[in-house]
Amino acid sequence: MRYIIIGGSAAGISAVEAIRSIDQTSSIELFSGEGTPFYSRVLLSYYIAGAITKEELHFRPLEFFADNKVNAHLGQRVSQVLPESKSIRMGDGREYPFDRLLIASGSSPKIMEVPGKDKKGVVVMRNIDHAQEIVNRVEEMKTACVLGGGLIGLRTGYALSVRGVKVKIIVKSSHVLSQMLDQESAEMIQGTMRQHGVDIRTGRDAVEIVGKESVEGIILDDGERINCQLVVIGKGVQPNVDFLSSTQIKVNEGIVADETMMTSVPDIYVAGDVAETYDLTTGRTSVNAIWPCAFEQGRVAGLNMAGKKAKYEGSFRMNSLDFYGLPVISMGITRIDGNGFQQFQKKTENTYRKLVLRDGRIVGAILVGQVQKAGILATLLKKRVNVSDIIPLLMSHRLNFAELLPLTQQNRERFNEVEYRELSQRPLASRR
Amino acid sequence: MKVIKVDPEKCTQCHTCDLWCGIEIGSEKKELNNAIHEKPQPVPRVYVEGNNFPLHCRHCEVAPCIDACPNGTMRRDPATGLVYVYEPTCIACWMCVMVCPFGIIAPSPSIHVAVKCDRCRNMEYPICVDVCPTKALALEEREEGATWYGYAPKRSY
Repeated sequence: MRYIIIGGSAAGISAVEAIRSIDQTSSIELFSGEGTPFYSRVLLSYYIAGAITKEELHFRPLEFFADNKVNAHLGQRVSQVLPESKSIRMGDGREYPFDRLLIASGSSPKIMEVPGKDKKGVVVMRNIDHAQEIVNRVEEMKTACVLGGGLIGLRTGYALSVRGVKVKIIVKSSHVLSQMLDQESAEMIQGTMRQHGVDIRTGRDAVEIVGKESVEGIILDDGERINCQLVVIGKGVQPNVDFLSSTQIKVNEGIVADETMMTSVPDIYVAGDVAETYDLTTGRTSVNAIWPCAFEQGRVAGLNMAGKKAKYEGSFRMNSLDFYGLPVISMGITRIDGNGFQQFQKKTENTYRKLVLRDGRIVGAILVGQVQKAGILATLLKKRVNVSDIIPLLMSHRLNFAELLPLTQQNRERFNEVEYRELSQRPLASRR
Repeated sequence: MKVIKVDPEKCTQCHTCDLWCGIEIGSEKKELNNAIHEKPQPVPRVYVEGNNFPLHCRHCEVAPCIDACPNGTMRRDPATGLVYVYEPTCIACWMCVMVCPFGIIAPSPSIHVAVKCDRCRNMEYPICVDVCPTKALALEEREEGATWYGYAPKRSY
């Protein structure tokens, strides 16, 4: 068997581990457009903040490829996939044949069409080079503007603020993180960030980036000019699918995966930010470009590629952040549009809890301040069990797993992993 | 691998397990009278939940917390199968908290690391099992054939 993996981040590495757990001998060729392996994209803002070193960005040791007998081609972009001849082609024409292929090519930042976007000091935040560029400029920076109120932009802004840079965040929507939070929870974050000197302008957009060669400032849609030395564009990401244009592989927003993480073409699999999977909360397929999904999808893809039947239940969007000691976790559908939803909210001065249900099942949640039990809600969401009888418990800070044991026993077929089963069994010593 | 099993019928909600966990695992001084004065306050890794159910980390066969951890801070000991936090590299992102099915990973606001039960992996025997006066806790071998995604992961432990 010859395996080829396109992409060397979470999904690709996870697939290598899954393949090697079954097949220790076949060849694995891994191609990555990036020269630096094993760094964690999720942590780049921590690097900018100075909280970790470049070495601490690694999520696997540098010997990983050698230890797993992977032939890695770093800094080499695949230009074409040729399903008919079961091979891939590089920019220089070289071809490599495969028996099973995994596409884990990730995503790229969306470009924002604003005059002046090509000036020096306008950056996107996606890879280690972008982060390094920001770090190199941080000393000479007084003010930085972040365009967009998404998670990447906000994290970058937070990191710069921690480094002592004056940060202004320009958000088109009525609040930050509009993909993952509702107004109430977003305002708690905005309040905390403003207390720490971050200037957040909601309902505003930048119409021009001004300066000679380098950025000197931005002009807002109300005519205001803000002087700054750095502009971070954080307008979201899009899957890297351009090299598949001439193939039969089905692409919507991302590459469409079936429940074994195979694409519409046999022997070609997909995982990570480039994959479009069944979304457990919406019932439609969508791209949920987050680290835990990439890892899980990579494993399922790898197992199937190596001949083990494994099933991917589906994905859902979730994320966790902690700015200035205020933890926030959000998952699934958090702002309801349309009928058939139920929502429950509870707010205190420092905490907020919201639960969104459809047909008695959790499809979304937000936790602010007290987040320890978030994973319980995520598990109930994933297992799609009816929770209408236990809403008061779920909405309480008293929420705990032990009180959910009866529910897991009623839904034994969904909670069939050993970890759940053994909690319902008495220890041997106590059986009579 | 060995896991801690619970008999709720024997648990009298006396909290001896979490008290001793807090002292032995959570504190610097390892002695009650001194531990209660420590700052930050020592925290236990076992929670007596509901009325009578002491809950620990279950050391999942396919651990969602290890998948979600973005820099390899959440690790599995290959010899014992136990899942633990390598504290020096924890960056307090709470991704593990977000996915723990049992809600037993605590995002510590005072020391900025994820805090959870490692089943006393550096000790001969888990302290909570040792001190439980009614033997509601027991250390037992986990059954074979655990599956996730319809697949049983290979064990080295």
